[in-house]
Amino acid sequence: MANRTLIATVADLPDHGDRIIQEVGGVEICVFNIDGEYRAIANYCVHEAGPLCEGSLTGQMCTSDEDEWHWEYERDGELIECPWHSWTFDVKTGDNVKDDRYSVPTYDVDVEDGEIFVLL
Amino acid sequence: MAPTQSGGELSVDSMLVVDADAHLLEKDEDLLPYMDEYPGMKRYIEGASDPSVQIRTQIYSGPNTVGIYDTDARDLTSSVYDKLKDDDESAHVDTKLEEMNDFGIDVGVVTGTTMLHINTVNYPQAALAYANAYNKFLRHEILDAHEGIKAAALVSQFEPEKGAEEIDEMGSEEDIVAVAMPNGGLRPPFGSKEFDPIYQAAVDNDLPILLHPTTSLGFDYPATYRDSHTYAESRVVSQPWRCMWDLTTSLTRGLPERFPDLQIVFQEAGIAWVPYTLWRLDDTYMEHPDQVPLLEQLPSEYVEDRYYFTTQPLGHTSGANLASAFDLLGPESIMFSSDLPHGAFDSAPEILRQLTPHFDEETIRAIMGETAASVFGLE
Ligand code: FES
Repeated sequence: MANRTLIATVADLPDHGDRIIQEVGGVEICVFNIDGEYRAIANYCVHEAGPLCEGSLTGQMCTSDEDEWHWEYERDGELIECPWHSWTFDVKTGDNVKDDRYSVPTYDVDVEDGEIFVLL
Repeated sequence: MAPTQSGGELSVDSMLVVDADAHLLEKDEDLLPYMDEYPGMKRYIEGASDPSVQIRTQIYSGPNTVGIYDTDARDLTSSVYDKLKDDDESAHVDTKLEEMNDFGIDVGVVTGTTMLHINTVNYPQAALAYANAYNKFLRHEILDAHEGIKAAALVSQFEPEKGAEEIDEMGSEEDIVAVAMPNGGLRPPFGSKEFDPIYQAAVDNDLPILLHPTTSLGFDYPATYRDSHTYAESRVVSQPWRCMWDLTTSLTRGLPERFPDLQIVFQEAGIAWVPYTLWRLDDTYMEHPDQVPLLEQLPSEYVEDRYYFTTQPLGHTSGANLASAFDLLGPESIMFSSDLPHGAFDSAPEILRQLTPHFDEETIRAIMGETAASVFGLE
């Protein structure tokens, strides 16, 4: 059975983009409030081991469906950009936005009575 | 990388050798008879005392080719093989066959020589006239003359829809196996959407695009060129820089996504610059995801699938180093080229000798000819 560890309270993370980084079982884990949902991801960048979750939440440039040429911007606030060299990952899945062969561990989260737990 | 196991000696005579970057030595006089569709430019070119300077801006004032190769510096059509003294219509073909015979080459994919400067003209109209005349010259004097000589239809960077027309016109010729888009002076660079009509026509006609740089920095890096003291220093960087720029823009501007079936061949910049550039491209792709929204995979993966690089000039190093460079890029992306009859040519038997200890026979055959046969659709 997964280890259930208290990592934060809902009161710690009231707004979208709020985050808290805690060490759990020797791993630094970050819990984000992403649009009212709580997401846990390792504070570890698979590029060169940078502190991923100390970076900015961001979005992604993409091309319009219409002509696949003009630039648009989507998913603002759903992605975390590493502060070291800007590799960017989906907070929900842990996948790198340009190449999903690069992925950062994510963890299930339980919210109970205003407390947020990560399951390891 | 495994040494050749075969008992027999590998030689150019025992395999298909395709020269993926060979040249004709066409002069203005060869092309003018085919320029009637562009009478205005024909008049200018005929009237020029030196079209290589006045029309094509072939030579910038500066170091360029002065004093090298022991030929008249302005006459890029001279070479050790220049036997084109007479006006005989078969002279170009005969000369090319002689070169190929001397170096064990079975098939030569030719582009022009003076026409490598088609994108450095003073008059964009002249570029259109040259492309059209050169293609007619191919049709009348080169194509169908010998099964060993294949050619690329020429396009200029101006009015890309005219380039598309040239490709459509020439595409039905059996001996046309590519589109030549010389990249010396190409502006905007290769990846630009402005050239899409050319790329569409290439895909429609199932022809790869050949990018051939020139050795003069002046066209592409004029500020740098002003500080260049000698042709030598300009030569070292001009071709690989140009090709790095075009490889880069083709990827960052999403050319392989716009035309997934387009095959691209970089000529005359050698091999070793490619892996280094790809590492930088992949790094940039990951570090600046917002700058490359048009790409959906690592730049190196597109290159692996549909980009090719010709060997000459390999540079001066050991066979082991060459083999390492080939391995870094991936031998399947590499095609032998001689550049004959230009003065910087590489010899097929010599390259074969250098590669033989380092690769298995199949890989060597692929590099020397089989890959080119498939890219160029040779029977
Ligand atoms: S360590 Fe995160 S981008 Fe380099």
